[in-house]
Amino acid sequence: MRRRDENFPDNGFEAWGGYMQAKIQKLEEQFSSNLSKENQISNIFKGVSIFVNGYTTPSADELKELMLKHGGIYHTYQRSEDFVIASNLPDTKVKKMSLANVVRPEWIIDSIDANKVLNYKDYLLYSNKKTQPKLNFNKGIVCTHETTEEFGTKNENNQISSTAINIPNLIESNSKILDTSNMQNELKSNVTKTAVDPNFISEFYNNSRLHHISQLGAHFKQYINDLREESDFIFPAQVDLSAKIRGLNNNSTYSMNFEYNKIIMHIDMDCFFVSVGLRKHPELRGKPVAVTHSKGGVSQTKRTGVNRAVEFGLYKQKQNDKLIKAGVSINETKITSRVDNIGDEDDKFGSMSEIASCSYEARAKGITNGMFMGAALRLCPDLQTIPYDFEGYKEVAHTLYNTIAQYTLDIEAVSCDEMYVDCTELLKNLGVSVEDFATILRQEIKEKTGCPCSTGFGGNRLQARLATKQAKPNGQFFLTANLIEHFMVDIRLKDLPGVGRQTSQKLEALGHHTCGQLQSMTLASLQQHLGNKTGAQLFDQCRGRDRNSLTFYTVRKSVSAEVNYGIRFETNDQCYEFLKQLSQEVHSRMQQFKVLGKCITLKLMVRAENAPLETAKFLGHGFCDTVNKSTSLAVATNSFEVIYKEVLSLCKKLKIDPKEMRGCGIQVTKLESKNLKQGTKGALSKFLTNITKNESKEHITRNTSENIVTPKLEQQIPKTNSICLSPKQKSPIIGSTRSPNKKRGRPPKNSKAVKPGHAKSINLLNKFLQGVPGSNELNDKKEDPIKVVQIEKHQTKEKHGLLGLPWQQVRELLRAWFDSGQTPNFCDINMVAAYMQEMIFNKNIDTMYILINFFRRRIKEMDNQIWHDVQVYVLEQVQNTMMAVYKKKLYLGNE
Amino acid sequence: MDNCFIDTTLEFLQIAFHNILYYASIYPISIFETRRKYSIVVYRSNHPEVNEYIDLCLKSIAECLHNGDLKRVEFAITSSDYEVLMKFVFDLDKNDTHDETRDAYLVQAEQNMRAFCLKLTTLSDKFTDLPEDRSFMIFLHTNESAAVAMAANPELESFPLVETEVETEFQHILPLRRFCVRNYNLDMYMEFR
Repeated sequence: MRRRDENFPDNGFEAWGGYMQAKIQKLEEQFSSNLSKENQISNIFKGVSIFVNGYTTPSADELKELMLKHGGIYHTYQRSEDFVIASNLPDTKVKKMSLANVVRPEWIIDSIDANKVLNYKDYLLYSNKKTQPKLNFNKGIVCTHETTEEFGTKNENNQISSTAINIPNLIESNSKILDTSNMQNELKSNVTKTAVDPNFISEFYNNSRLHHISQLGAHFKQYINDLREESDFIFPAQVDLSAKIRGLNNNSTYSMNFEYNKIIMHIDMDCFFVSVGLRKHPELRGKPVAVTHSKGGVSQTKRTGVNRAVEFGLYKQKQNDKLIKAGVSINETKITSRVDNIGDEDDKFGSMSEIASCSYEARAKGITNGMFMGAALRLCPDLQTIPYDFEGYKEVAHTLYNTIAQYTLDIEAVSCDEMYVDCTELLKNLGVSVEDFATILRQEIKEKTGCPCSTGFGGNRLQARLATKQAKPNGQFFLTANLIEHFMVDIRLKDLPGVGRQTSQKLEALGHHTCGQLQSMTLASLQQHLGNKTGAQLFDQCRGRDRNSLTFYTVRKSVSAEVNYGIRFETNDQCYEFLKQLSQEVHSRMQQFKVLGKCITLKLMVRAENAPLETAKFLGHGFCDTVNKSTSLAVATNSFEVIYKEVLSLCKKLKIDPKEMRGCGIQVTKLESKNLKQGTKGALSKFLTNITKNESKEHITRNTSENIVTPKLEQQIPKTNSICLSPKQKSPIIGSTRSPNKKRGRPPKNSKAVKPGHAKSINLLNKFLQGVPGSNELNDKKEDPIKVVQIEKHQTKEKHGLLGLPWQQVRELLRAWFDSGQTPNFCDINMVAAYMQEMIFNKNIDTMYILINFFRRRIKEMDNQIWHDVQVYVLEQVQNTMMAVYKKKLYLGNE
Repeated sequence: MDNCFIDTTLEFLQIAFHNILYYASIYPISIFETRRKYSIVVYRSNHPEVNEYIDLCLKSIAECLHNGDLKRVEFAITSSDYEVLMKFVFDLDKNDTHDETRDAYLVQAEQNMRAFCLKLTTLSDKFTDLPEDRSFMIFLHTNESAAVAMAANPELESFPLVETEVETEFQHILPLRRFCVRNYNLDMYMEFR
């Protein structure tokens, strides 16, 4: 799925309307022309047209032939008047279509047998009677096939012949039987194991190319690390090399300048797997060759339950969804995928075996690495296949690395056949030109390994890598400083490292295909479209810049083992047993890399709900949902027991039906170096580990003691020991087992473990908040003593009534006061003045202003000297307070 | 200071400034267009330079509000040689006894803002004595550290604060409105001779 099928973009999707119409018409014409050629047996289906939906027995092709022979019409694309022939339909299809004319294929066969068209209503797939469709004989086939494939049981012969007999289609039975006998042979000779088999893991890793490649890559990274640690960085071989180059006597005086004054070499073997394989098969040189597991061109018998159309549809759907998510509209981009050209399984082109590597002769025909065998055979029917030769790869890769390492150790290992070398120092020491160096080096590698390689030189790793691409096959290329600008313009964005399908499709939607086009974009707009990091990276990359320098010392970040081929469990125990083996594998790898890890992740691939039960690729994982769960340990470990225990508890918590599992993986991250760890390891932890060992021994002895009665007395002393020790010993383990509950990805709802922490933080926050107003109050007091005094007054005078009242009520009181006709009391006047003063202190001058205006208007209306005096007094008080608070007088009109 | 308060306050100040410009007839009526805000008709200048000045002032105000260092904003109506004739004061003080649940949806605050805008319409007699070629200025009262911080802020570089020494003293206060938005009290009044 990762690589695009570049050479076949034109798959008809882009011109859906016109093309499809033409196709349908053509197909119907073909059908009717066939009609005349074939000798028609009967005319019973005259006027009947069918459309086959999904997988049926007999298959669509057979039905087509039957219809042809009996006067019916077969439509490749559905018409409204068609009978839909189907054996089973997925839910989504059922929802979409009317079920009135969906008929089981038996209708056709029985009709032919009866030599008349039977009532199709008896064969409706989904009748209203709600009776189960009769699947009895189909079921039989499914069962037997499952058993043969899943267990590779010994009595295959009987079962398979019985299925052959069971197949109801008599017309086709001859060829079928041939097919099945074929299959028998194959099964006999090459029984494929499922994960249930105890030797599965070792078998799997022996055959998995991805495993070998990654193992080799990791191995060489470690190898370089080790070499650098041990080396004194004196390279005697440099002298020989220098002499050899000088002896060549074609001293090119032309010196090359690279950017940044650095010379980075990228060296890559040419179609590594093929050229290594060709050492054993010299007769295949010059022919299109591919390295794959598949035998090539041998068609497999169709397994029941496989529905490639559905599965490929799901892959495409997923691809679409991703694109939509990325904001690319589908109409603009054509969707191509690896599964486009794969036929059905019983087809010659149905192989879903991946091509790991193919020769340049094969590449010329349009075959690419990672292509499925089926699609490749379609392109190049005479494609030769050679098997994997893992020992050979190891040998050649070792030779390659050793050749380079004798001259310099400034090597960054990328994979078994690819590395970056910083030649700046080396070339300075040698005093030779880059060109001669490259020629000699490549010659030496070719001599030693028998395989061609290509080298690219540049000022940084990106340039070197792009140069190698240019150099291939079997060449060398020097991307010097003066070439870069021109060179980058024509580089396709897809060829940049780190630009995958997602990014390139996004960029294509924006109308950018080459680096030159991308150079016109600003950093900001790139970042806006692709995110900060990718945007900045691309901005640099399309100009030939690369900020990452070579890393000679690689640090491993994770250790994992993952199997997603052949996972077909029946029971939980099988699953647990497999996890145990996988844990063992992880454990041994961790030992190999001398690391301890703190974080354990269980990765499960589970069959997606709408994916077919049987996968398109035999024992492959098909279309899956992935589930990841991890747990953190308090202490880093590489112990098998701990890993297995954690993984088991994670797996149990997930509660996934073992039958639905399609892949398992265990990954350990947060690694610490074991050497480092031992240095810091305290006496206590050593003590604890010792106890663990004692304890486990104890268990064993105790188990035996149950069987053998005699040594019981001797056992008692250690027994008490163990009781004393066990609480201490247990405590760290309990801690580590509990931690997953707390730290698992999503905190469980209403989990009590989370609450206390939460409450604590709230408390702290509250305390903090409560603290702040307090200090503010202090500040206020210092700043403004009047206010404080006022507040105190306010509290003491509250009993007087007036001060606590809202201003509207005070206005009513004033109104009553004015209307009472009494002479105003001095204490009342003071009270009113105090109320207004307090409003000023509280800065409520807008309402105070209303009150004052009311006060003045009423007194003016009364036109009474005493009240005038009251007003003058009150206003004086108010203005004094205003001066105190605002330093300004209240505006009372132009008096 | 929470963003809700800052946004609400800035919006209110903007509307207040534009409306004062309109009611105090600082610019000809023709540069104003009507808008609907707080369910009433408000006026808004569409003169780009005037608007730019107001917006940049508001940006500075926002920055001060974020730092919590804004004590007062003054909108001063000046003569042509920038002598302050009267000013609209917007005092901000923190209300320590604020109850979070009170006016949670700012309904009362909105009504108060509307009341302020309507109050402006009643002030026409205060503007009669102003000279023909009047202008305006906006003052921010903040502390020195905030001023220094803002001077260092590259975003506000193009529009620095200018410190004024002369503070015109006025004799009279005309209260306009006082209300609270969240935990701050906004106190509006006019000052003039």
